[in-house]
Amino acid sequence: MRTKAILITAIALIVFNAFSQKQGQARIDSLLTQLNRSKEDTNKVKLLNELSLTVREINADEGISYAIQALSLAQKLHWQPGVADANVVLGMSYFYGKTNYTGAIDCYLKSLKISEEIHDNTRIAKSLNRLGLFYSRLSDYKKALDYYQRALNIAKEEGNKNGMQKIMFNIGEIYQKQSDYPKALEIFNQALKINQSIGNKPGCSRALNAIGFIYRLMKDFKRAHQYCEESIKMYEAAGDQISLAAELEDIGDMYRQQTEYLKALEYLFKALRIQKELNERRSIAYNFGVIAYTYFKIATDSNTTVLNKLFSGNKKAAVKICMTYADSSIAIQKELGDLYYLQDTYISMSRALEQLGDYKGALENLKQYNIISDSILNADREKKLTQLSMKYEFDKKQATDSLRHAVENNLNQLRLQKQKTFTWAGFIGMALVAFLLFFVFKNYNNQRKSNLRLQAAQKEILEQKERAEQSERFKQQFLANMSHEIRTPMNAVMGMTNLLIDKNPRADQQHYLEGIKKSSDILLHIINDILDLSKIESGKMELEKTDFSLHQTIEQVIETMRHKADEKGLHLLSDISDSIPDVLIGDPVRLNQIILNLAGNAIKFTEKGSVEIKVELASGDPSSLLNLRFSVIDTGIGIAEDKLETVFESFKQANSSDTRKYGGTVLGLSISRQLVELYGGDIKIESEEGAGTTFSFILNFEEGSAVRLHKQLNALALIDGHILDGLKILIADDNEYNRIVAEDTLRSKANVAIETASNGNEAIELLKETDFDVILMDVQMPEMNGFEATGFIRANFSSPKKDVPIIALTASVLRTDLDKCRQAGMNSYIPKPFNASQLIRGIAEVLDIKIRTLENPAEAKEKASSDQGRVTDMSYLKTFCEGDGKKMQKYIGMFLQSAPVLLEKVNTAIAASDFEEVANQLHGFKTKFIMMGMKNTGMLSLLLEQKYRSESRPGTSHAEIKILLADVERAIIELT
Amino acid sequence: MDLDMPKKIFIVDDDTMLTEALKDYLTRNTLNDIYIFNTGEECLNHLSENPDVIILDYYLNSVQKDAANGMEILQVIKKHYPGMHVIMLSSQEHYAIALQTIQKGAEQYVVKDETAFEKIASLIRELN
Repeated sequence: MRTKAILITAIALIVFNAFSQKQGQARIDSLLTQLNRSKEDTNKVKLLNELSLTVREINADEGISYAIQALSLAQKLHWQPGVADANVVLGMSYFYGKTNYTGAIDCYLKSLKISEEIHDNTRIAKSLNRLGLFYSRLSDYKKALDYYQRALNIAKEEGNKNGMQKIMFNIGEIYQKQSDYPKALEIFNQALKINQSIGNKPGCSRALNAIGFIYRLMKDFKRAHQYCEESIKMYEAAGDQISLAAELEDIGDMYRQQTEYLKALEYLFKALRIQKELNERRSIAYNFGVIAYTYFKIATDSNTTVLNKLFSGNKKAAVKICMTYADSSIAIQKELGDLYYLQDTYISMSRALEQLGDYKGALENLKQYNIISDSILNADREKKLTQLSMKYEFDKKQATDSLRHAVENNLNQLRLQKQKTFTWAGFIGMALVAFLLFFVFKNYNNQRKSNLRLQAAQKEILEQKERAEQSERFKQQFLANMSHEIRTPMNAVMGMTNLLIDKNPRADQQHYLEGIKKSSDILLHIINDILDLSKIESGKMELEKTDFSLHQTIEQVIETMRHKADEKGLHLLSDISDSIPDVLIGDPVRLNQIILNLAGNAIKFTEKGSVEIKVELASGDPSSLLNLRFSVIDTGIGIAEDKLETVFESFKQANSSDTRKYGGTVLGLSISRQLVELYGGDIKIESEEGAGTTFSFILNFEEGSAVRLHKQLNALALIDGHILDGLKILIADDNEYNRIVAEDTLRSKANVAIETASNGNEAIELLKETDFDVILMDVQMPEMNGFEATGFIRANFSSPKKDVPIIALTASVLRTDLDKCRQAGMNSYIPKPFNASQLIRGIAEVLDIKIRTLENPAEAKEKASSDQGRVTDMSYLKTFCEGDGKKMQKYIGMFLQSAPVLLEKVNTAIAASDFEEVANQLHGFKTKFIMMGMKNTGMLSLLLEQKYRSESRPGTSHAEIKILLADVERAIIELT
Repeated sequence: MDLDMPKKIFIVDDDTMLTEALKDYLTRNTLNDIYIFNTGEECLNHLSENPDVIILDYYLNSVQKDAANGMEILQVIKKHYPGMHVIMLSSQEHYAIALQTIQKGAEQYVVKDETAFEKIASLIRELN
């Protein structure tokens, strides 16, 4: 991580910037009003100076302009102190606003000269201090110290304590930069004393802070903490929240350095709380960075005390939190465009991940680092170029100045010698030398500058080209990532939902599960829409050529849309001309998508009447292809003529308020149009407002073969999983849920032996020990990904292990990725999310097993063998305790302790007919039942609690409660 | 920004398994400061410590019969600290009770089931 010194400076700068941005404008306005009213000219000079200083923060050029106005006014008035001041101000504008060193030093020196002429000590000290700052910035510490010391001496003579302390801080800073800590401490302590004596509280806190920081650099943490705490008290008293937060953060970071992580986090979070209250985004980003680093240290420290305490020793959990904070920090930095810090964060992340063994992540961050540092370099290059030529000019000016001095001196000497022989020739010679030198300099300088410019321009063009290419690559990468990132969890959701539906849920559960299924289908649909659109736009959409039934395709659209049409009371009709052969060759999925989108849109905008899908032969084309005109005709609200074009734009509909009124994603039409264009067609719209709209397009198809189609359809039928019986299968996937889905799906359909691995390394280890019939391999895994693992197996194992069929499990839909699978030596792939049939088919195909379909799918539905013998089920507890056996024992212990009490009290209460007490006893047990996995017992206890509490008393048999008590007894036996 | 800031959390419930489990859950990977009270009265005595959120059981007198119930405690809390975040816990899903607690100022009404811990944790996160 970046050193704290820079951090503090950065925060100070931000604070200053924030202040000036908000309050600067108000201050400028007030100064301008004062300036207009002011009658006294010297006062005007002062106001102009102040204006320049304030404006400079916002606009450097304006700052310079005000300073020049002040300077010329003061010169006109022959008011020397004003001239000196204006020179300092102008110099500052040049220096900070424009990094114009020549201009700055010129002004400072002028101010010094004038101040000396008028013997104005305060102004002399001020100018000297400025000169010190100037050389400090140029890293010429010797010169800087020299000027500061002169300034300090004058301030001392004057007894100007405020001036003294300011200069002292500057001196201390130089000692600190030179790592001369004793001297730095000495001078900061002096500054502290002076501030105390004049009651300057902010100065005191600043000194305390500076001293604390030096002690920290000296690793004398005890003293450092003393001073920091002292400074905290002062910030608190002054109500300076911003500095307080910065100081707290500092202390936290110091504790981090001392490996006292808990304390560190305490302080960092305290600081974070304040920063969040103040909404100091940049400070928050920095703090997140420090917090992330602290968690990283917790994860990697050889002393695992804190890791054990906070994360039960789970290093991954600590790393995960670290990454979350780091990501959040990065997000804010990106938002703020803080490239410098972002660059640092990426490189730190990269190093951290490398240390954690996540080389892929490390590389990824390194890439980001390179990108950022490139763009910083670009921005800097411009600035550096100016700076370079400025500095060059500065050097040149000094050289010509000394030359002029030499000439003048020589002339003077000549005059002083009062030689009677007045040598004109000598003078001309001198002048000639001077001129010559001047031109040589100028020429050299010009050449150098134009060379620099040319190089810079060439570089920039190259970089722009590179950037454009890079951005295209990023788009690609983003697409692939997006499909992976979203489809992977979707796979888990859909897969587990299907598993649950297969496990004979109760009717109400079935209802909820169908809801989940439906929603996830929709979600997947939307994701696919987005992906489709990007695929088409990037020219990656490929149309399939396969036999399909036109009637079935249209019928599918009708079926899908029937429900929606019924809801609105619309007639949904299809009309396919008899002269069209039913089996065609084309891409039925895309055709379905086009018509589905158009029909969906039509239904959305139609309140009454009908929506009709019409297919007819479009005459006039003599080729052997079939020209079909597809029309979707509705009787809806219609579209105004001037809006006809906009309906196809990705994110617009006829009227943006329609989106709200009619709902739905608005990508459909855009996709339809692009798909039709991909087919070589063109969508036409005819519409009359209030009467309806007709979308139509013409596509060409070849006639297909009914026999081939029949073969294909057979393949789609439900497949008997038992064809896989007896196989040994290895599933390698880093996502636990995906592993479960694949494993459970296979187990529920076939009698197979399954082993699982969470990365390529594990898969290879397992393969060494066991011969598998097939490996299902996730492509993206940590440590060793699927491609690498496959490559390793193909290269390093001997037959038959070497030739084990490997099937890629991939969420990617890009052809390039699928090609990569084949290149890596994988035999086939199964796209995620997959269903049972796809999985079984995929495996059967690579193993050349003959596929057998099921006559009656219901027969295949195997009931999960339920553990009817047991009432308890530890799976929930295990998940809850994250597998921590000790914790599980704790909860089981609590249950075993309270269960006999429950039995006794309920029995007593029943005997005494104290039904209220029965209800009360049952009440407190719900959580316990849940924790022990006693779902049915829990449900029963709820019912009984209500029953026993209600007015109508339960019967005398208490049969139900006896069942419950028996369950509890059984649970005690099972758990003991 | 929904990162878990450490929070001071009061849990008020007479079910020890629940309080323990909830404490376990809410201190997982965070530095949350958890205080457990078995009765509402105890919790009221410590209100001045200014917790960030109180998780309050609706039915508080199943063990101690004379203890005040959750609704009464909620009203006292809201009277003295109108801005205090209170999440009501209940073992049963009762629309009427839920509505009542929300009307009395509870932030949310959570039914004790398998997902309760997660719901509470996410509610707390959202309190920022």
